[in-house]
Amino acid sequence: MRQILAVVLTALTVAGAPAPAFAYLKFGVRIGANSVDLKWNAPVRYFVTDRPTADVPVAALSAAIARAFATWQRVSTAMVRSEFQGTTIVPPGFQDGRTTLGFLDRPDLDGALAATNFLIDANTGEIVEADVFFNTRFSWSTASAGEPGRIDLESVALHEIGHLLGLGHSALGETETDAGGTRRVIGSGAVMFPIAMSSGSIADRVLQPDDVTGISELYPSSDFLETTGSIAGRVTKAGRGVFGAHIAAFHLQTGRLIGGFSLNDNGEFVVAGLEAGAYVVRAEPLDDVDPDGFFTMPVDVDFRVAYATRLVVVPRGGGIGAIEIAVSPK
Amino acid sequence: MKRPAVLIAITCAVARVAAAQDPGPAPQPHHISASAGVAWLVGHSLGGSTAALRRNEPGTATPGPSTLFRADTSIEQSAGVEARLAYALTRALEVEVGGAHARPRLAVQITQDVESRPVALRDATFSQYIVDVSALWQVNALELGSHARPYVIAGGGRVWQLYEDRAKLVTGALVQFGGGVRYWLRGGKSRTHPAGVRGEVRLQVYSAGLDIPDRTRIYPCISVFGFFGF
Repeated sequence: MRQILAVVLTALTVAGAPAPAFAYLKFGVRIGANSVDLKWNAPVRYFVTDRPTADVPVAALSAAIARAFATWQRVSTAMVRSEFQGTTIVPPGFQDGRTTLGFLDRPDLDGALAATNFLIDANTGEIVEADVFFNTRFSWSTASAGEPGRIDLESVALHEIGHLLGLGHSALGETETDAGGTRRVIGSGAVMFPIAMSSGSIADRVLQPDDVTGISELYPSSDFLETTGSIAGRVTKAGRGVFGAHIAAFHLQTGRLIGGFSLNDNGEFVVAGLEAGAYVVRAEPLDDVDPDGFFTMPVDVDFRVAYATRLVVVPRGGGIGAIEIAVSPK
Repeated sequence: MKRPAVLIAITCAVARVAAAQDPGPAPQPHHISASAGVAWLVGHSLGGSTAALRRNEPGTATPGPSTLFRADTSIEQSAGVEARLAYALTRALEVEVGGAHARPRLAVQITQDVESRPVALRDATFSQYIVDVSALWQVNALELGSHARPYVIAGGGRVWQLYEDRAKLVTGALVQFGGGVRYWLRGGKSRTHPAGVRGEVRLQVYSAGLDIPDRTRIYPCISVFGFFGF
């Protein structure tokens, strides 16, 4: 009998809401002593629930989800495939071996626009099913230009399908917090940023370089790994490693921004899937999002933004290591 | 009595023609000459680029930028070495194959980061290699004394720019044109192996070379060579 592991992995949140999530650029599951990337080894065969909302009929829901899948599939450096299987009366979250996306009323998660959960074979790490719900506590829109005061379904579907495919959150974004503790996005550099843009925004219908790099690293096309490189290094404070620092690699010629994190107590990081060229590398504390939405261990956010002291040049198909970014306390 | 006058007249005429046809110093057709020297690359800006996020701007799929920081990059002036091998097709026209190497320094300034003061990244050195094929036309009609002649040069080639650890920055193309003066210390009018010095200014047009907004740029390059004919 197959052992099943149920994991609620992530949610896209609205302003001020805590995210019941954790993530890195890719999801991983621990199988015995090994960590396995959470990914699909076959086309994602999915169903859409036949439950409409007052604003969104089933056909519009289904079309928005299909467009979002198609956007991921259009990434030329990644091999993503999906197949629509039809509608179902079974709501998302029901363990039936089917991958289902649809509306669900979740008053208990009134800060979460949507969430993705997985059923994983605990022996192999294979995905048995993955479900995505869109919370009917919010007012949704499928209008082509968006609608003021309503959340764009396609944008949120694109984010959640990113999770469904195995991507975690990106921290490429800046937020501000008001007196009530509510975070508002100032700027976002990835569809996979965990806090949604304001209602009416349709910007997250378009994948950003960070998203494209993430999905390409997870489902690489035949030449992606040969033509891209990586930057590895450490973030240190007073000589000690910093865990959970957010790294942004900026390609000087293309202007593309790709993110990563220092992932252990030595402060070591690797940003992979980078096109060859000269990069400015910046480290900042994970203070524009809730760090609990990224890591289960405490994250050091007590340091100032700092840069790698020199340009970092990434070779085609190779890696640059030993980049040290020394940060100082705030 | 007429004959001496005619003879003198003919002699004078021949002398004028000889003076007009005095070839001055020039390459010997079908001979090879080699030049080697130093090239000075003038420092210049490579431009700047902005690390930008998408502004939270409802109603558009392509919102305006929200600046994270800006990086301005420049190349500092540097000297390099250059060698050229020329084959003279005529006394005016030569075909040259050249190779140059320089190690310019890159400087990067980070500004406009709301979470950081302006930062100057440490200068980084890269290696630049150029191979070109050019045509050199000596302007024999312009005399600069008995030992010097001006010339113009134009050609094209490839550029390889490698970072400190040999990682390739970029491979690009180059078109160059300019002019200079050659001064013969020896030879140039006889079959004696000629030798001398030459100085020139070229404008080098790089395409796909290192530049921050990816574009074509023109860089001045000043060279001084010694040359020797075989």
